Amino acid sequence: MRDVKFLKATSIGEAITFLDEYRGQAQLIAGGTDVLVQLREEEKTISSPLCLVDVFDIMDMRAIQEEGDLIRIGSMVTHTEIAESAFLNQAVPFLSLACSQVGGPQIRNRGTVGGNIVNASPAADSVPVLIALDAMVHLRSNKGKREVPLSAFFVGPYKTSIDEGELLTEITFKRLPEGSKTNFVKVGRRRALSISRMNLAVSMHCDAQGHVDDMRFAAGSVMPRPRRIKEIESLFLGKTATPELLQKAKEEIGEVMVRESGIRKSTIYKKPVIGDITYSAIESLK
Amino acid sequence: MKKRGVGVGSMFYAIGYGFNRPDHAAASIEIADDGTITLLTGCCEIGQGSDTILSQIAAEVIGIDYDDVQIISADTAFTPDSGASTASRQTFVSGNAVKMAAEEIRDILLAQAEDMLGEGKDLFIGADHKIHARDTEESIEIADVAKALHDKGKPFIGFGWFNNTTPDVDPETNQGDAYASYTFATHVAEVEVDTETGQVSVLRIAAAHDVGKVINLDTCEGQVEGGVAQGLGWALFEDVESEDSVVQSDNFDTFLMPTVLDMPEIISIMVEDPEINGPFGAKGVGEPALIPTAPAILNAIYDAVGIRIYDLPANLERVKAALEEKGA
Repeated sequence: MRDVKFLKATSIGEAITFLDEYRGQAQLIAGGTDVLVQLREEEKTISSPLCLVDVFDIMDMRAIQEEGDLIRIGSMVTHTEIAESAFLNQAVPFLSLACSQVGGPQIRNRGTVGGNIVNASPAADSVPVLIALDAMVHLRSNKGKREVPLSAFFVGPYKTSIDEGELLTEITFKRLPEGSKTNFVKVGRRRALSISRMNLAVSMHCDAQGHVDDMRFAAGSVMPRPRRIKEIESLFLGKTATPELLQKAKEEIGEVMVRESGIRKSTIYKKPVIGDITYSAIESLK
Repeated sequence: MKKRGVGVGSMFYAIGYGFNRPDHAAASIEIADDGTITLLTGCCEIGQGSDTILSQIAAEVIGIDYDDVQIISADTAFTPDSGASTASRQTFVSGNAVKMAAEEIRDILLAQAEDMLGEGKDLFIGADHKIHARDTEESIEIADVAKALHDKGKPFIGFGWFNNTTPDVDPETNQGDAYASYTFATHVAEVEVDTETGQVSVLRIAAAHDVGKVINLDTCEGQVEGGVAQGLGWALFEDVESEDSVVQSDNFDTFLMPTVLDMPEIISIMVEDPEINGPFGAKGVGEPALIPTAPAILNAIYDAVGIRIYDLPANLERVKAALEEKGA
């Protein structure tokens, strides 16, 4: 049985102080939907003392804000709040769409976007969208502030470059060009409480002539570290999304996946499927 | 692309232990001096509604109100052994035992009423807590009859024993009466297959069951709907994965069952073709509810996209692999 201490932080400063004071024992907890499960698993093998630092109710990290063309989402904003935000549904619909498909209502009510990122599951649903948005993550510690592009924040499956003593406070990204069309596709085994087998996020904007002048594409559970897949994006820039181009994208995405992840047991399923859903996701944006 | 299809699955399933295996149930009923009864049965209520229907059977046979039946079930200190709640047997086997016990109670009450109202009257027990004479206006309160039994020290306990043990089949030919009764059912499933991802959605299921006689429509439909949920889970989700003999799917996040959002509209249809040996013609529906669902779904998948899945679950990987092989 572990010796567990529970500390509820009411501010960012207080949280950082706790993290520092209990260095080596501190474990951040937000909604707890991932952490509690992991702690139960750890119980079987780890017995060292634990200090839970609860940051869920730090109000400074719960806001959705707009600053010019920058959108700021506090790390403690829940999936439900993102799914139901009228502002985000209008500005970045595919983010609200993605968060609305996480788990089930109970999980969405507690699970936070910050937790989703730091947990770093390759199947995280908010991540491909945030990657497509070139999001920045903002971290605070007793050493000060740090800003990292989300695409550089993931080191590997379930691993980020967050330091002991660091708190993820918010995620920021620039608004999409006005008139962008977005989509998010989740492949799951069932209609709710389903961990994504794969997912993808896409955003497309066309100029007055109907040529693509802004294209974002990212996918989850497809490569070790998520990134915007320029190999797909570049196919469309300056062109219109014709069936021929869609077909090219469908073939290319599978190749990209195999180049980065190698051939695995799941490739026989994932390769045709990622191709098919890429085709229809981009097609749906027209 | 999403493609729809419809499929049918039919089954029959035996009621009871069969094959000359011991299969009996017992019940006893005691009349209290206020005209209410206590029903003792070994039949275990596992959520299927046996407490309800056995009380209904007792009340129906005696002619009293359902609310005047107190049931004590599966208490090893008091209740007679009625075998397990399994093999879809208890409506049939315990139902018959309860019916027999209730017939004794009915006869005891009518005999005592005749004693009090006079001989030769055609008496019946009413739902109004009275025993009436059919040809005259006379009636007497059941409570008074019951009290008289107690006051006069007359027997007021009924007992029923029903033996459902069947003769065995011929060991050489396998022919013979393996079981006393069979329930028949057909499920029809309408599905939608996503040819891109291999996802199968079940849109509607119609489930028709010949249960002989519906004792309680709510519990019958509840059993069918639960069976359909389980059958759907078996067809599409449930998968015990193991690696080097170690089970990997050891929790409900990996061993999947349908959620509310995965469930279709279920149209239950009860068919009543009376089973002559069953209580009021009833058979059983416990396990039958689950059986035709998976075949119906798999046939619907074939109708939708022309692939045959022979290994369950028909999950994303299997469906997509079959589609790829077919060249869909």
